[in-house]
Amino acid sequence: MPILSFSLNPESLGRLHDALVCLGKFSESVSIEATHDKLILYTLNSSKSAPQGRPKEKFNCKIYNKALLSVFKGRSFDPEKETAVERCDVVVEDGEGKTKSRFIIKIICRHGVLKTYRLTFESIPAMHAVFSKESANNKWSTSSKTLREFIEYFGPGTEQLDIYAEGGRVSFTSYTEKVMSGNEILKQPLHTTIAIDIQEFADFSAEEKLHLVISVKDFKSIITHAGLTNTMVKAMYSRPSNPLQLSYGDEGLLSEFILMTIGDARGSSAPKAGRASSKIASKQPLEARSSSKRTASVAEMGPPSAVAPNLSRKVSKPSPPPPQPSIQSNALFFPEADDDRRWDPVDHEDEDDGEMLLWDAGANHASSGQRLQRLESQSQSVNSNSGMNVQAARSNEYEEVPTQRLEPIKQVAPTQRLSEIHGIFDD
Amino acid sequence: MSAVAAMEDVAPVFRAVSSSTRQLFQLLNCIRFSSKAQVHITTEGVRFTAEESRVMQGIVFLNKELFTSFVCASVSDETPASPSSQDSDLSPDLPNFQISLSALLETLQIFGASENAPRFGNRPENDGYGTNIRRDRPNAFSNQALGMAGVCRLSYTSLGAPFSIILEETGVTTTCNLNTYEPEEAEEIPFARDEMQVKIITQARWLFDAISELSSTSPHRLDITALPTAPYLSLSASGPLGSASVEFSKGRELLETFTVRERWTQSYKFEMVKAAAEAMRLASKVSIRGDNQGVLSLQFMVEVEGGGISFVDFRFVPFVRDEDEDDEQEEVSEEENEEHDED
Repeated sequence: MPILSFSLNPESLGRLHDALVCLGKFSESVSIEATHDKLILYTLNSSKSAPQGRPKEKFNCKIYNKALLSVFKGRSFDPEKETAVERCDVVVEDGEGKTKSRFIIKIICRHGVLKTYRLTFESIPAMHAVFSKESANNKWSTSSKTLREFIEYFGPGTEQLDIYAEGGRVSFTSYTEKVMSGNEILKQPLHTTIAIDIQEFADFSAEEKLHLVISVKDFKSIITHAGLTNTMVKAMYSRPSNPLQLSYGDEGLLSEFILMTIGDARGSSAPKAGRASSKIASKQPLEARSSSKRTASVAEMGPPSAVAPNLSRKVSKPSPPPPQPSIQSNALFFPEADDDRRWDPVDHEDEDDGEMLLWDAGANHASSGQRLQRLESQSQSVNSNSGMNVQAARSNEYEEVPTQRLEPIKQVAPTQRLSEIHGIFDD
Repeated sequence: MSAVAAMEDVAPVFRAVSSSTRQLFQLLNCIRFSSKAQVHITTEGVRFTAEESRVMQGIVFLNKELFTSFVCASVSDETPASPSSQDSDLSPDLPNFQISLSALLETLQIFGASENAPRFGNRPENDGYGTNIRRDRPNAFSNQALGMAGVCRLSYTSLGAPFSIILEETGVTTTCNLNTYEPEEAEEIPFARDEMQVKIITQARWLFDAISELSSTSPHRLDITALPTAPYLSLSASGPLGSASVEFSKGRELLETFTVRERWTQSYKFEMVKAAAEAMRLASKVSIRGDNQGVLSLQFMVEVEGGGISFVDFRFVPFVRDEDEDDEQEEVSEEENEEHDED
C-alpha cells in the first residue's frame, strides 16, 4: 500500500533536476515533504536537529541527493530522442514486514522501456527554518537575469557578500578579509562592488544604510538556479543578523531560501533593543520540554487540535554553530529539566529584538511566524554566517494557509518556570 | 637508428596502410579497459584481444578492408599471401605478440584521430564551427573533410622487432616504434555456441542507455534476466543507494531477434560490462548471447565511416550464484511479474 504516489510529466523532470542541483549545493541530502496538494523538497545545511515525533498528517522523508540527481540527470524533455521519457511515476512504500520501504521511481520511456529505481530513504520528521514575513519590512525584487549577470563578477575566492543601499544606489560587494598568520598572508583581501541604481529594481522598499552580509557561495548557488528562468527574485529581511528570505517562482515551482545574515559590525542604524532575557526564558523552556519529552508530549497535552501537535514539537535553536560556544548555547540542545536558571542568558551585547533563525517542526510558516514574533530571541549566534536554510518547494499554491487556531496561544509570563508552562500547549 | 634502418631492408612480415587513423582509433578505443592487448596478425586482418582477470575479454578485428593496402607474409614464406589462403594454414607462423594498447591509442591520436571523438570535458563547447545537432558528425572544416587526412602506415618486421606506426599528415611525418612483448598464452573464454540459451539482437543504443541508467546507483553486480514472456529482457543492479532496473517490456518492438527457451538469469561484474560502454555507444547493433554456463557474449556491429562493417566482441564470465541468492532472485522476479500482470 503506497503512502505517497505522484506522477511527473516529462517537461518537469528537467526542472526537478535543476532544483535538486541547487539544493545539492547546500546539503548532500534532500528532504521530501508531501501534503495533499504540494510536494516540498528542502534541505538544511546545518542539521543539529533536535529529534521530534513524526507528524501524522504529512509524509516526510530524507533521501541522499546524489541518488535522486542521478535518477533525474539528463532527462530534459526532447521528443526527438529515441529514449524520451513518456511518464514518470513515483510511489513510496513504507510497509512493515514483507514490503520493503523504498522510494520507487518508475520512468516509462518510449518503446515501453521501463526503468525502475528503488531508493532507500530515511523517514524523518520535518524540519524547516522559520522566517517571519510580518517583521520583514525591507523588501526588494529584481529580475533573475539581472542578478545572474552580477554574480559573474564576484571573485571566485571571495566569501562574503554585502548588500548595502545608500543614496538611491544599491551596492553588492563581494569581499574576503585579509587573513594573516604571523608574517605570512594566507588570504589576500579582495573587494568587488557592483552598484546599481534603485530604478533598476522592479520594486525597492528597504531601509538604507543597512549592511546585510551573506555568503557569496550561497547567493551564487541560488541565483544560478533562479537565472535558469526569467523570473523575479524577491528578497525580504528585517535587519542584519536576522534571516533573509529570497524567493522566486515559475509556473508551479516556488523556491524559497532562508539565509542567515551576519550581524553588522560596522554599526547599522538599527536601534539596539533592550535586554529581553526574561522573554527568552519563556521560549526556551518550551523547547526544552518538547525535546526532552518528545514522544510523550502528545499524550500529555490532552486532545490536540490539528495544529497542536506541531506546536508542541516546535523546536527552536540558533541555527549556526555559535562561533564561541557558551554554556547557554549548549544548553539549548541538552536541556536539564529542573534547572531553569540555566536558561537565563547571561549577557548579550548585540541583542536585538528580532526573530532568529528557528527550526519549525510543524512546517507551518505563517503560524510559527506569528508565534515567534512574540518571543524575544537571543542572537548570540548570529555572527556566524553558516546558519542557513534552503528550501525549494514545488507546488501550485505554496503559500501557507494562515491558521487562526494559533490565536489562543497564551502569552507566557517572562519569568515562568519550566514546571509551570503546561498552559502553553493547551488551546 | 642503424639497427632500425637495417631492419627496413628485410621485407616486413606485416605492412598495412590506412588513409585514416580515425576508424582504427574508434574501434580500438572500445577495448581500452586493458593496458595491454594481444595482437594477432592474419592474412585477413589484425586481431586485438584485451583481457581483464580472465573473466572479461574484448576482441577487435581490424579487417583488411579498413586498410588501403594490407600485406601479410608468413615468416617462412616471404611472398605476399594471396587473398584465397586460409588463416588456419598460416596461423602457426603468423606473428603474435603483445603491445601496449594505451600507447597505441595515444599514437593514433597524434593527428586529430580523436578530433571528433567524444572526449568529454576536453573539447571546447563551441569552437565556432561545431554544432549541437549531431556532436559526432565530422566538422566541415576538419582535415578529413578537406581531404588533408593523413596516411598511417603500420609495419612489423619480425619477432622481437617493434611495431612501427608512421603517420603522415600535411607534410609532417611522425614515426612511432612501439615495443612488442612476448605473447601470453591467452585462452579464449569458451562460449558454447551449440548450448546457446539466449540470443537477442537489438540496437546497441538500448543497451548503452540501460547500462548508463544502471551505473547511477554505482552497483557492484549486474543481473541480466531473459524470459520468454514479459518483461522479456531485464537488466538490474543494486548499489548502496538503492536498486535500479531497466525492462524492455514491449520486447517485440525493441528486440529484433529474441530467442529464449526458458528463464535465464546471470550476474556479472558491473564494472566489466560497463567497460564495453564505448562499443555500445559506437555500434549500431548488438547481439546478446548467453550459453548454458552463463557466459555472456556481446557482439557489436560497428559501422565505421567510409563504409564497411566491423565487429567488436566481448565475453564475460558470470558470477557464481549461491543457492539461496538464487531463490531471492526468483522471488523478486516473481513480484515483478505480478506487477506486470497488474499493468
